[in-house]
Amino acid sequence: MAAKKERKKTVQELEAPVVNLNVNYDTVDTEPKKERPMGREYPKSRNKMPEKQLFEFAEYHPQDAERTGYSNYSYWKSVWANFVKNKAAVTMLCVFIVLFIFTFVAEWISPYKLKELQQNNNEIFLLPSSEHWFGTTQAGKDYWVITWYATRVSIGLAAMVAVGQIVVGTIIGLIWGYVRKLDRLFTEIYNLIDNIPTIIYMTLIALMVGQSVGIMAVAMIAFGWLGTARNVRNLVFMYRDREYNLASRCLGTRLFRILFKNIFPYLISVIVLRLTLAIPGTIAYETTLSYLGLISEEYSLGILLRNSRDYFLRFPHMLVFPAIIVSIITITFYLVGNAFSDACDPRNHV
Amino acid sequence: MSEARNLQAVDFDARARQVLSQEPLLSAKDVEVTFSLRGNKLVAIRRASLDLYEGETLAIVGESGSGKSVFTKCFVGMLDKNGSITHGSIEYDGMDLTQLTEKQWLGVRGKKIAMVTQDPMTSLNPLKTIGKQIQESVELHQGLRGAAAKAETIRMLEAVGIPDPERRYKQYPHEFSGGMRQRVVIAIAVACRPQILICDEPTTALDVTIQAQILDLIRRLQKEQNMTIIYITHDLGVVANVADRVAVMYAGQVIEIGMANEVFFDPWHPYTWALLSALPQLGVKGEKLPAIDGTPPNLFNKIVGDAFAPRNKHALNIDFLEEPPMYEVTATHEVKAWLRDPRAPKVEQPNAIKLLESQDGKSKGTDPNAYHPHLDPNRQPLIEVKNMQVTFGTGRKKFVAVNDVNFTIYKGETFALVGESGSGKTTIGRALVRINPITAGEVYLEGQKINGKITKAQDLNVIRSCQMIFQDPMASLNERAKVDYIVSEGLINHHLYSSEQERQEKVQKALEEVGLLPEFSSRFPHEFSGGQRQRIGIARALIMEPKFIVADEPISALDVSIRAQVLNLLNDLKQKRGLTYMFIAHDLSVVRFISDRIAVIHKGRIVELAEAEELFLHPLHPYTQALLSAVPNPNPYLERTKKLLVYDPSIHDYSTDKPVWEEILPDHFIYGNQRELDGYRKTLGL
Amino acid sequence: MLKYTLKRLLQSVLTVLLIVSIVFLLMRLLPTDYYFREDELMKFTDEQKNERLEAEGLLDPPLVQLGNFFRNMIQYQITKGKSVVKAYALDQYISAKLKGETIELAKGQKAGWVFNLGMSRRISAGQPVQKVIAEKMGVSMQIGLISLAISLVLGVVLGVLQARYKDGLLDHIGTGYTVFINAVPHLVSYSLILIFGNQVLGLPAVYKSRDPAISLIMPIVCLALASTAGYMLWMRRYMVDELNKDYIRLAKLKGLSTTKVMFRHVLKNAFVPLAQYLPYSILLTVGGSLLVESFFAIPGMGPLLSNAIPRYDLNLVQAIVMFYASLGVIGVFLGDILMCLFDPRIKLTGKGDVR
Repeated sequence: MAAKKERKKTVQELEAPVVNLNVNYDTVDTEPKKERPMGREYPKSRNKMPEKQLFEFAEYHPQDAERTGYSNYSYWKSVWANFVKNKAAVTMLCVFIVLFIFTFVAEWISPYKLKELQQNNNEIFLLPSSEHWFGTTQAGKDYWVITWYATRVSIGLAAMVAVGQIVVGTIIGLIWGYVRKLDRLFTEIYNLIDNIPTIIYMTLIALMVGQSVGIMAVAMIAFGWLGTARNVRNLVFMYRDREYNLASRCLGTRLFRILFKNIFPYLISVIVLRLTLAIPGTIAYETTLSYLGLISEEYSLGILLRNSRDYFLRFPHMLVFPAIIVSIITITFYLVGNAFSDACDPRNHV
Repeated sequence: MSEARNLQAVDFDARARQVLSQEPLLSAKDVEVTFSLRGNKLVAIRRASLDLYEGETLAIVGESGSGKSVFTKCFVGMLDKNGSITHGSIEYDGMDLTQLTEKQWLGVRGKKIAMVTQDPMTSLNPLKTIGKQIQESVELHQGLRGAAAKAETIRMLEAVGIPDPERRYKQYPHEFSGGMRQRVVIAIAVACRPQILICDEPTTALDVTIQAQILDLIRRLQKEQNMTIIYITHDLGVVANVADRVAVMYAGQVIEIGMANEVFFDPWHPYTWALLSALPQLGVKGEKLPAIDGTPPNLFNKIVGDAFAPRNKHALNIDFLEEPPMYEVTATHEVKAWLRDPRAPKVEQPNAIKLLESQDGKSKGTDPNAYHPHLDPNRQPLIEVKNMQVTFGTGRKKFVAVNDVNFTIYKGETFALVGESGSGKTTIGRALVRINPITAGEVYLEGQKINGKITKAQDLNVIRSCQMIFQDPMASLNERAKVDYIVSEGLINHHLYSSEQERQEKVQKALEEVGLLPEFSSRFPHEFSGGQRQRIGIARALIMEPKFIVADEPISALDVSIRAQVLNLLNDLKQKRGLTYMFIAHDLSVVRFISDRIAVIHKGRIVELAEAEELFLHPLHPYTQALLSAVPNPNPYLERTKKLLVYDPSIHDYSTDKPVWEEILPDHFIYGNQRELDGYRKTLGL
Repeated sequence: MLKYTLKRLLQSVLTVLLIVSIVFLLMRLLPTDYYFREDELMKFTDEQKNERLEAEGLLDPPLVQLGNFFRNMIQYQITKGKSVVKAYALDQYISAKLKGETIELAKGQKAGWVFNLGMSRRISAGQPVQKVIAEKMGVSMQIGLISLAISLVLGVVLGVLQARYKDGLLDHIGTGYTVFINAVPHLVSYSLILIFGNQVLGLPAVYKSRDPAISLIMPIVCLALASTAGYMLWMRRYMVDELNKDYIRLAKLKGLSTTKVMFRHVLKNAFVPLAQYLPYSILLTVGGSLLVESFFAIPGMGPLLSNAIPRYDLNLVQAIVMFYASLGVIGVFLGDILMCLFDPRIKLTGKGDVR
């Protein structure tokens, strides 16, 4: 016990006059003073103030109290800062942008033009050379021009289908999630479609309607919205009865405005993620459909990969060029999507 | 403080002597905990020290962000991955806990120091039976196996007050209520047979009546197993109930520590003063509560001097420059405040602190001249509710949330609705502003029916007249919209302005009215603290110029120091604008301060309705009595000696004698059958 | 539980019938030429065609045809050798029995109940379609089940290890692998495997019926590599999700070591959401992987469909769709039942919900 006593400082008897602190309490100044800038003049260092003054009461300003917990956090700024930190995704994105621009330039810098390509039995399966930069095909056509054109077709198709799927999926998901009465109906439709492999529907459509790229794109949208819609629906379920939405209902806000002003902004990160992942998904799906002969298009990356199947063991250039390009595109979007989704997670923010 | 009155329950002086005669069991010295978040450093614990003595209950009080939880996590080696102890030591049992490897921790965590976590709803593995989860502790720490382990587990279940333990052993967590789950969590911790038990806000998620039972349970187990307890909470009432010693934390530091009676009746840190003074229990009805402005500091910023200085109305100049040292008040009482320095001006504690000691918990200061609208002979009903019923779901899943509820709210009064979670109080509030549809009954606003099909003009009238303030300021604002839009949403919906300029003016005015700067309108909600956000929510309701506001637990999600600000604001607005409130709460102590009349709701039915003081003086319904007995009182002596009543709904026999809603005294309504009513009349001496 | 199971089963059957009906009716929109074999199409005159169509009831209104299709799905057939002498639809058989008629069998005739989905007209002309499917199913199932077993074991183990040593070297390698497999089109990765297997290991590039075991190595590897990545990804994600939950903190606070927490608490909870999809995956192995089988020219279910479509073998297409639909629906149904067994929280109220 004695040892303990020594450990602590002792205070001398206080002799200064007693100050009653109750005086200030009821005259609290809650009106913000507009004319005075935020922040008050506090002593900056001890040396500038005599000790006597150090132990005098300081002036009180409620605004400074309000500032103590202030944070200048901004959601989208943090998302961007986190995204940029992901070097792999940013690099790949740059590579993709260059590649995309190149699809337009490639034909222009090449001596061959897509429209003028003709069957040439003397030049079949030529390996890459200064004459034919990517070699030639089984029909003796210049593979460089074909590959870049096919890339453009595939990117275009992927972008169209991805946007279509996301738009349709988001709209349906919003309605599905918010309007309670329709939940059952959409759930049944969802289960009906989802229970069966999509490839079956695609083959049926190819059989019944046709195999052009346009038809297949529409079909991919028609069966591709499900995932997005379900995801959006579950999120809407989560946000629907949050208090800020109840507040909006209480203020008489209309359904449309609640959906687009209160709920939609919270879905943006998921929608962007879905969109970026839908692009590699579509490209991969397109190669499968092409391989199975469900798309009849002259050139697309999928078609090139299919055509290469019979030859690439002997003529690897038939596979290599489209495969590299397709991999760059899909990996880029996959990485970008995941990087973005990580960046959007508030848990990763400061 | 030996002049305290005749107390049988706790003798703090004896405890203090006990503490002084021991060496500490666990001793944390200058602990600093740093979190790294994406390159930024956050110092969550700023060189905090703490001694724990064997057999005592030490309560750590603080607001969110004060570091009380992080600090104790260091004692069990459970800091989050991005956090680390960057300075200091924690001596325990000859070891320095800050240096242990994960392997060495296995010999301490659970075995010697166990912890009860905060949220019982998520703390249990949903796919394992309750029995197995407790048995895991038993097997690991008591060395029992097989049937012996099972028997011990069942004994534990019984010990924590779970009826029918044999059957409960085989059940899964989802079959248990929140209170029962917390008992299971306690059983798991206690089955480890620890020397030290850390309870991290174990009752925050529970109702007051359950809370009181859990506190009793912990006390009993402590005695039985001779444990030392660290109890973390933000609720001063709970502290008064459990603590032998109290440590107050602010911004990652222990700023005051002492025996419970010393901290409650003789505190010396301005923050402790402010916390205690701001308690609504100590408020005088009709007067302002002494609120603390602002919010706890953001620990990402470097803190110079005393962290509380900017909010401290009695800060000294030196508070802004240098961190104060610990000053000793008594041998067991230390304070980290410059005010205790011999050079500082000598000060007296605020009145409220003195009031606390004289509190007898029975009568509170009421302004005798206060105006009570419902006592006005010309009182006019604003809202009338008749036989209201609200049900959710259909068929077998049908659930009656609100059943046959009747009440009238008069113009200008504050009508409180008090009940536990799931009682249907929020449902009633939401039904009044028509978020939840009513299944049966009628609601009238100024004599006009507002439920069911009404005209468009009337609809707009109701929207403008009735608004709501929500519970959780974090969830009640749209994070992706600017304050400007949030506040003026109602105006935009119904185009209640003639020009863009007028709209902006209205927004600025509403913001000023709730004490926010007009420039805030261009910011997003996440830039604001909880109290500020709640005020934005109030501004959003005010801009519609309502007559009637439903305030759904507007302060329960706020930090203790912020609550008084919001209560003051609500009272101010009521006076300035002549508003009428329905104030929904689970905490009777707050309600007594703010409301004119109180309705107590249980399982979807209002069981008693009376004038506020009348209800506290003559609670008739057994449920009201139970609720009142459980209210925590921030006076350790009273809190320790209070008698807890438990409400058992099965005492009502309504099989033949049907209950009615009866006005037993003028303006005192009660729900009961004739036999019960006779009994109530007898107690009132009628 | 039983009530829920029956209800869900009924629901599943209805779903299948609905899908089959839609497909059946859609098929009726196609030109009637597709009802003939290619050689018949060449030599038949229009009258001959009409006669045949009328005889087979193919000119009836589509809804009547649909009714007949369902009526004749189960037939009582009297056969002699390989040809059908007489067939009773289920209702015909019952009414005949009710009238007291006896079905007499001539010498050499056999009678029995048959599942009837029509005849294949083009792929294997004259064969009942269910027989065509049954022939192809075996090989698909074989590679499907083997690769599923491999990928399940590998995927789950690797996923668990990734989660256990999160942010370690193994985790990074695993993530790289899953990214590659998930992002790059399967056609490309299959091609890479084919080049490696064929050029380095000397495995056959296409299926050889003389040497089925060797021929199946590469298809199995292809399928397994792809689905391993899937199981790894999900297992890791579910494990990490579970590890962040409150109950794991309490388990650690009990004093359990990290490894024990992993095995006693996290593993089961993380596996449950994965288990829901297991029956679906197992059943769909029967359906074969269209791409792999086409890629390696394996005579399984996959190529059957992609051959039947361009050749417009309508009965066969219809049967295959019905087959896949049933597998899918049953798989989902079993998955739901399995979930109920694993997770005590799921109350079996029979409300349709989105997985």
